[in-house]
Amino acid sequence: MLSMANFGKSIVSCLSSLESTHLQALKLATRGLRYNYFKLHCPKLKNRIVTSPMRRFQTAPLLHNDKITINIVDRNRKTHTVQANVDDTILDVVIDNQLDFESYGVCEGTVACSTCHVIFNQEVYDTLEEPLMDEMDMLDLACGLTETSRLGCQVHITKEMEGMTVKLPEEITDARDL
Amino acid sequence: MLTNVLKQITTKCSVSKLYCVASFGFSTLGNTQPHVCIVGSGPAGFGVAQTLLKNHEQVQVDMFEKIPVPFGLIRYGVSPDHQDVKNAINGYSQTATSERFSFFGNVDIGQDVSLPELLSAYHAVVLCYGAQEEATFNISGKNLKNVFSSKQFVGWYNGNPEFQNLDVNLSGKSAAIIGVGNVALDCARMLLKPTEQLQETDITSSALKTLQKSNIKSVYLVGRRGPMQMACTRKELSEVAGLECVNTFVEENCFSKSVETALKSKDLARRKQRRLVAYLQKVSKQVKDDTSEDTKKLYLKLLRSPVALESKNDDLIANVKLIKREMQGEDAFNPTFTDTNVVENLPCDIVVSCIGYQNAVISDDIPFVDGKIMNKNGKVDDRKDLFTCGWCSHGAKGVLADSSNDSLVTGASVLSNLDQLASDKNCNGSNDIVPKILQRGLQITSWKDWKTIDSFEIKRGQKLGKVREKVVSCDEMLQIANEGKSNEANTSEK
Repeated sequence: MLSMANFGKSIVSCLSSLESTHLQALKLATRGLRYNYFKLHCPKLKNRIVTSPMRRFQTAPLLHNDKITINIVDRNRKTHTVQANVDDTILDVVIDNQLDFESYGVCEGTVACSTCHVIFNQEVYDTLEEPLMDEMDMLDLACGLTETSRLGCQVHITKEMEGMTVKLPEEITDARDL
Repeated sequence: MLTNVLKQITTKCSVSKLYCVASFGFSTLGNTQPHVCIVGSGPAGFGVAQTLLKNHEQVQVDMFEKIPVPFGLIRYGVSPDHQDVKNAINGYSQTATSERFSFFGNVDIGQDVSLPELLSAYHAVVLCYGAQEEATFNISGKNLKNVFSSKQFVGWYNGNPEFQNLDVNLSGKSAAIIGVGNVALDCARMLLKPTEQLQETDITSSALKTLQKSNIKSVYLVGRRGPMQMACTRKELSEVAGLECVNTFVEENCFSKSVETALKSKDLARRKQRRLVAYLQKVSKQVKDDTSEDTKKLYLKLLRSPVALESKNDDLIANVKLIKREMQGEDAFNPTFTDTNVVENLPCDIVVSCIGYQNAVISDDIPFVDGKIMNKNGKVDDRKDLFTCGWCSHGAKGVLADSSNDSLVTGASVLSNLDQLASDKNCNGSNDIVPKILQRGLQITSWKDWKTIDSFEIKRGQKLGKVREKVVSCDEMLQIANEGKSNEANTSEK
């Protein structure tokens, strides 16, 4: 019979050998369990976690992926240098670091608004996978849309993004002709 | 009196203010805490509340809402099958738990309380009450039976207490929807979507029953202008056109040479429109499967202007008379439109007009021009303590993100004026105004009352396998709130 320590070790080694896509799927599948874990054990995060059946983004995962450092420039042009878990979305990073940007991620990562809009530099933007139709639809409506805009809830952190800077759009009022 | 004053100082003033107040003596004592009133509890209102509470440590935010329950269009406008958009209420509910936030429902500003009364009780008032009126449809036959405005039709299926007694007759085969915006597409989708896909949503049970018995097989969307002027989004269009049971028909001739040229433009600001029309073109070329009996049809009739609604008998709608229009000019984004004298008849059994909304005038004091409140960055022109945000300020256009972003601008304007406003005047916000409202015999619902109604709706919905079953009468809402209060009183007595 395995001792608890051995059991824990074998779980960790099993998980670390998973490919990132499988890990992502596992994270999504265990989202509910991990939310409740964090609600109990992380008082600071308590207020941010609201159970909702439609939520797709996740708070800091139970197991630590690699971390990188990225810079996020807020609407007041202040730069926040934060730790980001590889495979988390930009929205996850904002929430996990309690950056508390107002009206950011209003629909909670379900691609039903465009408030998590971020702007990449061209170099990083070109390495990103093409946005899916849902994201394009919402981006169409984003204020201050640029050629290198993406939705923060749809872009996942990769190791190659180490040190990158993303910006929240400056333009708040929309100049688009609806 | 002195005890009250002392209580006020110790609970509400910081140490430095305490010092200032003490040095001036009690006679100049007023409440230095800024009191802000927000009129309206939709995305704009909550967005402003969030900004104020986050950026000012003392501000007390009081939110007034006309009906007993909050959330405005999120509750009564966003369609039942768009539950993801309704996630926004989670963030708003979080805001409502702040000690410096209070909700006052069932209070109609303009009717139950005047704007001048509010302005004297608060340091700042922020108008976020949306667009209450509809653009009018001035053609003959608009009062025929089974002709509805979008406000009525959407309100009907979304449980708006004002429209529960609507006699929506879906026994006919065709529906004509005037307008090609997102609201028009929502209405089309409700009529065409298989009702099994609506069963678990928060659509009212009675609207669902009516839709389940519907015979409507064809929906016509009528638009006055060309493809590049369609106000809907690609996403909304694809939600209807992409339904398995729906075939979509678009006339080839609306993809003129100027439209083809416009589709090739690289202008980012036009991307939304280009993607929409490119999708429309793709859909128009798809092979249609006409064989199944369950197949429904969506027709897009652009470049047509409705000129009359006609009936055959019993004052029931039977036909929409349309005038065909022509589009000229090389720039499909800015063409000219002219009416021809070619008349087209569109036989139909129900009409829903989705031609936009307008602002209501709740007070003569507010400067309205062209249906918009004149303001700069949310601060109403020529007023120091009146602000505005969302649809009531810049017109009834825009989605959730637009209101959210707008609330950041208005919130910033309020914040930059707030401390000055608070030092200019002594007032007590809800302590001043609520006694007046209660004296008028009105019942106010608190946030706690909303949570009681919320739990009731969710519980009732669970029994039916739905996200929630909305309470559709204001009287019933108030009754449930009262029962909640008396249950709590009984429990605490025990």
